[in-house]
Amino acid sequence: MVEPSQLEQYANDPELARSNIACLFESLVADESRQNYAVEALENCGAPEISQIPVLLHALSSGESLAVYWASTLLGRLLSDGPVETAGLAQVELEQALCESLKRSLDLSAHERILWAFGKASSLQPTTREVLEQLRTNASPRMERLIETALHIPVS
Amino acid sequence: MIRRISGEQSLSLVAASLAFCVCLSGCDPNLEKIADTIATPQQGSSQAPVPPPGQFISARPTAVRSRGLPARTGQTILVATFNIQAFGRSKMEKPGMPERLGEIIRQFDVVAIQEVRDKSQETIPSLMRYINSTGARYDYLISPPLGRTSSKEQYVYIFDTNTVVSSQQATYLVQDDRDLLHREPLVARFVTKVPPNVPRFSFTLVNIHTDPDEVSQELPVMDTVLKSVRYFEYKDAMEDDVLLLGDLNAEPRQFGPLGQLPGIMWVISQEPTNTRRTKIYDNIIFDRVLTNEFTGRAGVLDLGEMFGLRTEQVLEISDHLPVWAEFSIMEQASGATGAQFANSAGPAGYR
Repeated sequence: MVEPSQLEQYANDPELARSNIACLFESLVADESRQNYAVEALENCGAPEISQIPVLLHALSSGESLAVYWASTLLGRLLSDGPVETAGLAQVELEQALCESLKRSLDLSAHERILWAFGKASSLQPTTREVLEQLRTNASPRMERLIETALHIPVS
Repeated sequence: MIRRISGEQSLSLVAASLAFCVCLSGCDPNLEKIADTIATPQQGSSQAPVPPPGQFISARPTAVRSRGLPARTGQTILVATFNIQAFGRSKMEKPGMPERLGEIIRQFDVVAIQEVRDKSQETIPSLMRYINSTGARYDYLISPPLGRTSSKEQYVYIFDTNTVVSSQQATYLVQDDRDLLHREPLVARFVTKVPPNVPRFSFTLVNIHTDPDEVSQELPVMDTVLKSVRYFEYKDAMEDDVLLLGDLNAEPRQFGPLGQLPGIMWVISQEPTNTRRTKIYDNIIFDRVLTNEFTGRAGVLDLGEMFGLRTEQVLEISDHLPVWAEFSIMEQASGATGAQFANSAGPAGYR
């Protein structure tokens, strides 16, 4: 396990954080000090490298709320940079992974962050839109707002 | 629950209060008082003896004057905001860190702090011991843990009871019914200690830390937050000096509707507030007409210069620097009255 002092360096060095994403996700489930610095590093690291997508997909499938939340956040940042079509991975696969996590995740914060991530994409696959449309019917006001943003519907 | 501690009562938690909530209803500047006083805040600070005229001087070391902070005259107070990055036990356990944080806090009369992360709730009481170890008499107000995930943060106000007292009337969270904000701002009222027959400067602070990933959603409602609190404060306490301060994760050019409010001003427009000196994240924002107690002096406290540290060493304290502004201890007659302001906000829009 990485020392808190090392994680603190990651929190203050976005480039270093981006190259140690896996370590940051491991630390999310560690003690409070490590978790605090890992959260801080993930908050500050900006959009991840394409090469880190497998780590993010693994975190998404972990079912661990904080990991899902931050994996969604980083994927959202990536999607906001434009369509992801590199490293042998199409955006459709990212969307599928997010949809799967959406179905699995019971944690509200993680759930909402996945919806937020969809809102960062310039366009979504029809299957993703369908999932969001279904969710919209029983959504809370905040979730509805996030879904409307993702579907490019004027926010009510 | 807002918990506060009395500096005079052995740092034991003495009361919990949630006096009022201000309701933030979407982009409509609607306001409702949704709860009456649940518990009266303990006023440990009010027990401090009022010093005689001319001695309203905090424990700030005179040596700091050369570091850009104005000289202490007893006629002004310094209000600051400071994001103490991931502030918890781990940071407090670093050698020399509590002493440095204590010295930073003692430069100011009121400090709005963001990013306290400590499930044990030991960090702030521990910090208070260091702050007051010089004989200073600081007290604090702290919010409940806030945030969407299990990793939550708390807002804190630390204030010098020799120069200001917190109001018995209200310390509260803005109620965000539509869940527009990641962390609901913590609002608290303060008033300066002044000689008899001198009008006391009373003011309300709104402590905010936006989510950097949701700045584009949060900033567009920040004008509503400020207007709602101002309206509530005026209606409830005739208070017209309301300052929004904290880590906005945004430069003034990104303020949007907040930056377009009539009379609005922010104290930092050019100087970066992060430790690497690349971004303006932190600011103090208020109405320049209503809050004409502002002396015009404000700035960013350079911790590297203060302690003789390199940037990498300052980063161990925080990735943010304290932002401060100076105000007269005396209430000034403003160019516009609070009533005028409240009416200009549109009474039909409030309930």
